[in-house]
Amino acid sequence: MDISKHAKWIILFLFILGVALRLQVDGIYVDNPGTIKAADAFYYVLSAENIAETGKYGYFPYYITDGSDDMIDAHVPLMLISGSGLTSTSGLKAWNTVYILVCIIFSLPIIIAFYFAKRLFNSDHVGILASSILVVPLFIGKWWYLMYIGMWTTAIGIALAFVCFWLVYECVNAPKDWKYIMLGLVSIGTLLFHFQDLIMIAPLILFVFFNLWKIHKLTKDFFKKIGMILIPNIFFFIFYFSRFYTVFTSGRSSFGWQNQVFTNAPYYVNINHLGYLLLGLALLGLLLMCLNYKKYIFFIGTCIYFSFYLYIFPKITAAAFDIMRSRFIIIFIAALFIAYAIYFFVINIHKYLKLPKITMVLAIVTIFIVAGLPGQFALVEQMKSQHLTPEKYSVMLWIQENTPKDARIFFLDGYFQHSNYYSKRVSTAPEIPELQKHINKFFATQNLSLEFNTGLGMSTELGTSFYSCKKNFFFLEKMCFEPSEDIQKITDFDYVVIAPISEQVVPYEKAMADLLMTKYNYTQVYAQHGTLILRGGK
Amino acid sequence: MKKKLLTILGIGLFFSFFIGAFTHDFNLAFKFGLAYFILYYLPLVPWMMLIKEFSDLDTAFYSIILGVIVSPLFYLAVGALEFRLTKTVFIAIPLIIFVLGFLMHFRRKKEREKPKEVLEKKEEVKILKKPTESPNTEKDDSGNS
Repeated sequence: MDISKHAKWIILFLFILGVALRLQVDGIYVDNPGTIKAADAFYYVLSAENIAETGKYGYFPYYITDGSDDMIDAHVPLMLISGSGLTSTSGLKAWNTVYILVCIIFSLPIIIAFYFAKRLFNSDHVGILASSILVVPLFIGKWWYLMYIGMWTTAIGIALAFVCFWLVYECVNAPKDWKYIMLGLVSIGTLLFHFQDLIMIAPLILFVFFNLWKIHKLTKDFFKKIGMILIPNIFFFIFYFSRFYTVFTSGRSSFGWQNQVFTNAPYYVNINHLGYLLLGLALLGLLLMCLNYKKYIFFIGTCIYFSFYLYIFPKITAAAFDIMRSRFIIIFIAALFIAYAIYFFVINIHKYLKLPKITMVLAIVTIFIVAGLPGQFALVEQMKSQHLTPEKYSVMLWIQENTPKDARIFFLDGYFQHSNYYSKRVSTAPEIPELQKHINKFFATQNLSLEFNTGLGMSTELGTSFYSCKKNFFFLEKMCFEPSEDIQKITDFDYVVIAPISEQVVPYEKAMADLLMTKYNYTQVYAQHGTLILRGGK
Repeated sequence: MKKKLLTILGIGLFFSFFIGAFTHDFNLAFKFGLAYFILYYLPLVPWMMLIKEFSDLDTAFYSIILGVIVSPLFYLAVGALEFRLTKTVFIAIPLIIFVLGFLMHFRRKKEREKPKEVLEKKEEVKILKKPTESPNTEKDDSGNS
């Protein structure tokens, strides 16, 4: 059987399967935002939804910024705009469209691994093996963390950084004009989906420039090819640079030097999360490549650079938190080594036992996918929990439809991780430790405290990029907005939502509702599924 | 050419509607499939078809990869210039990219056909010249000249 005729169809199947398995993890929810599992995703979805609803790009929704509607949103724009485009045209809610886009882009390395391996090892078999490793990798709880928890721009950025890496390799080893143009487009895509990941790739792109200079010197061809890479970046400089600059100089993304001490965190992965078998195979693949180092010198050199960037650099920079998240790229690169090592065994078995290579390759592909499925099923089960269940979401819809736009809402219980912003009103919800403090105090003293340590807006989540507004097209003015006080009094709010979280907390919630209604003239306007909404008497 | 285009569009449509099917709602699946196909797949197809060495599936893969980047870049341009990102804008931009790609495609085709036409004309001239030459030679042969 001639594999070259069918290899790409196999890859298409693996890619579609990969997208389907990723979509299954958080799930597609038509009626309520069950797809969203954490705070970051709430912000992305609300921003995308805001663009779809208002048609206005680049400003935070007023309910995130304590009521101001001219606050600049300096976050990377492409994911929000892409998602809003699909929402606006299809009517499917933004929590689904953004997640679908994330899953598609996060699956692109399945295709790229094939092309990369094929170029490196000149074999379709290795390409298929490399792709199959990425369809549903072992330990997906680790490797897919960014995707399913909602750190979506990071997940996309890392996938696109891998595409950039492959295009850099192509531009150096098999240069063609269209590859330069694609490198330009994908690099600007990476920058505008998650610019931090382009920092990892930037030295490699500079190497492409150097290589071009070596070949063409300062001739017309050199500038033409450089132009192909750089011209798409005009989009960045004209339409986004001022926002980028505001974030970059805000202190949140500073690149100072600092000796770091790391703690374990779920958003960091390590090479050992490949598992001992795959790690062993990856090392064997590396060894085999080193034995033939003349052929693979550029690839091995690049991997040494990645090791430095991902392991040494974070130890000395203040941006370690961001850089270490890029370690998720390891599995994409490791897949190439692993596939090569497996192919080494396939060739030898073929030589001595005369088993057809394609049969062995397809059997291994099946084993990889089947081996990953238990992890997939477990993850799907684990991610079934929702922040905004249909019941909770119906409260949000009630608020959207029945309260004035400038109403201020206090969520006493049950709405965490910024899910309260789906009320689309200026609101606050104390986080669990703060709430626990109040509950403990109530059970100990029977006294209710009305003051909560909880700021308005998503300021903690969004960082200082939040506090800027537009001066003119190119420049932003920093700090033209004063964030709200950290201490908020519940009776200052127009509406109070009291949602059930557990049986033990019910006496506290009941006491608070009674106090607000008897002493502060609040009236009950909504009571369903155990959730109360009280309207202030002001 | 037609077969190639149909295969590429078929792959794109299948992919778009397959993803849409995850909504478990026929109406939404159809709308989403169509939206994804038009916004993020279709615009890149003619451009990718310009690259001669691409097979059907290469074209489909690269349309998927670049599709999610190219249209949004233009949306960003429109949004940053403070124009409203309406439904019409979201649909018009990919369609313009698609049409421009096809125009480019036909231009290339014409450019390729031009040297062919010149060659064919040259051959025609040669063929036409031959009969006029042969009577002469005949004349020569007959010794009448």
